[in-house]
Amino acid sequence: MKKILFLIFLAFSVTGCVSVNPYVLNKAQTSLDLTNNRGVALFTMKVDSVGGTRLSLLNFIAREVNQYKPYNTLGMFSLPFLAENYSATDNLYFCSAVLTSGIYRLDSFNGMVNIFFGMPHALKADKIFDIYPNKINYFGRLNFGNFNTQLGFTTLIKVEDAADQDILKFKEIFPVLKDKQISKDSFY
Amino acid sequence: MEKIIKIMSFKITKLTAIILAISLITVPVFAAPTDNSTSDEIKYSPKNLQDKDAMQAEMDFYSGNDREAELIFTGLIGKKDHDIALWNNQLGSVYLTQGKLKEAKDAFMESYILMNDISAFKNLELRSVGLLSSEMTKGYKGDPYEKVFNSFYVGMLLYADNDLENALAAFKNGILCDSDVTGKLYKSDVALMYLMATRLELMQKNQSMADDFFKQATEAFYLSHPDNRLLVSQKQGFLDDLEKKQKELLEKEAKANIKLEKVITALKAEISKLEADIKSTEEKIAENNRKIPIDTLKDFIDPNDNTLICIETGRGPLKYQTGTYGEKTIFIIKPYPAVSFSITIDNFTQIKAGAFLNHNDVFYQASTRGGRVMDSMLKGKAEFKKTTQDVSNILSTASQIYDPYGVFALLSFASGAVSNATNPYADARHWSLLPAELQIISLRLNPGAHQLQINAYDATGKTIESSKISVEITNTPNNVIFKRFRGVES
Repeated sequence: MKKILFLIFLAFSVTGCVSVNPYVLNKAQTSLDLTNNRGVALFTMKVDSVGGTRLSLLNFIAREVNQYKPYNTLGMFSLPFLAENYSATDNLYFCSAVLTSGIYRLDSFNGMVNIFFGMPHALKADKIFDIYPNKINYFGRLNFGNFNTQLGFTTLIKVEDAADQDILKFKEIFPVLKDKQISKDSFY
Repeated sequence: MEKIIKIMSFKITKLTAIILAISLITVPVFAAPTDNSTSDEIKYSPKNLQDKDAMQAEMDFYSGNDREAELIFTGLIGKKDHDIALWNNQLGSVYLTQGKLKEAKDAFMESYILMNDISAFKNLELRSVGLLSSEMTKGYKGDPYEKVFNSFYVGMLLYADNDLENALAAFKNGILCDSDVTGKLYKSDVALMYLMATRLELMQKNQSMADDFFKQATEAFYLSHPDNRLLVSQKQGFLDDLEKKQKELLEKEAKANIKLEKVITALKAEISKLEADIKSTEEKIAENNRKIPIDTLKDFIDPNDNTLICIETGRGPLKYQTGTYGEKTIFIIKPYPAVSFSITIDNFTQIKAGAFLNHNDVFYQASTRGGRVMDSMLKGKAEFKKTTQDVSNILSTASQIYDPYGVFALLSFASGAVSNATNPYADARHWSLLPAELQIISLRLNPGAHQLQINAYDATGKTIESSKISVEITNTPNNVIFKRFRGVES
């Protein structure tokens, strides 16, 4: 059965049916593939815990914004959080997304408040960002303040420019970025 | 059973291997080019390009790769599809940025003809209002603000070509397109168009027409000035309310009976209050107008000047779909940090911020166009999609409780299918390579070659972009120079 599945996967890959999917950076990564007009978005996110309640983030959602494609065919990408994305010393999440060049909407960060009872919680960002071919851009620090335990979501307070500190830390967490040029861009 | 599974798995493996082998053999055979065209010609040929490739061209343009953007838009124009006016506008912007004025004029002119032709793509327009059709299937003709800026570029480039009659016609067309918006106060508020019309009338010695246009330019400038925008928006809101209340009052008075007397009295009171609010807002606007300097308008039409330098900044408004079914569209703008400019001519004369005609804000024009008839159609389609989906869900639940003949299940399926096929998605196509703002200065330069250094400054006065260009000023009164600043990515 495994052989069959492998062959089917291989057939699809060879005939080009597997599209180029977005991915996130990880600390073990040694090379950065920016072929096929891909670029990288880097940004940090800050959300403060309330009392003893902690928010465990699972993923963030990026939606494609493309006037040239029918609305029902626009991509919606769920990008996972890895252990290395959170820095306890800074109380910051270091987020990355490798996407095909284009315009995207950072929709929300999703997670659970109180894992045992599994109450879903979303941090609503609703910010647009651009991905340029073969470029790595830092977009800023999204600050959500204290997350709202009464509602199922928390709204964004502000976006700060913390490029100097954040870019250094990104290079420290993800060695693949060490020798790469990181430019500055902004959410809108 | 196990034997059957084994045989099946063997057959699937065999079939997959055959498909794989065939694909490996056939793909390279069919993909091989049959002529001697270069790889670029093949890659950017109309048959190999799809609409979605335009996004790559857009990002190429905003990252400074104009060549790639030009190739893609040229290829898309070759498809001669219902978006041809959009592709031409985008390509025109690419050419303008590259300083290819003749090519830009041809591209904008192609769009101009289609965007202003009522009969163009008529059959596609009729089809797009159907429940199952998408608004995107209709031919692109642009929003009023896009028509205004297309007319502006056509006018400017014809003016540079010394075709003054046609240039004036293009500016007048732009003024007319700007009147095609819902809010009365936002009609014809692009001062730039009136100023260009004034300039042209003066060149043709039509003083009275020039005076008329200049008067309208001043009114438009006041109306769209940032200091007045909030007040104008408030006044427009009051005017809309007043119109509604007056209509309601007329209806009630027509039915006049004792029961309605209280309602009529209340309506009259509301109308009086609205009229007072409008008067008060008008007074505030008039007070602001007294403080707004209009020297730049007078300088702009100086008949002794022979050169217009047009600085295009940032990135035009982005239009995208929102709503549960993408039935609405909104505009958003990417902030561009440059707020002022300076021009140094031949390392000697420097012209600074105050002399530029500014506040020619594309986002303001895009976001004040008001609603369209199509918006309510899309709203209706979205409601139909939701209702049919709800009906499908209810029938599906009912079929699970009691449905011995499968009627509910069948109806649920049918309703779900209709819901899925309904197409309420709004059309988000827009001219995305437009700049966010235009700043223009009118100058007198001696004929001959000149070196211009243009600096862009942020709000703190820091230089954020700088560009040196060589220009050749001819011995004519209508030299035009375009310079685009695209922000951090250029």
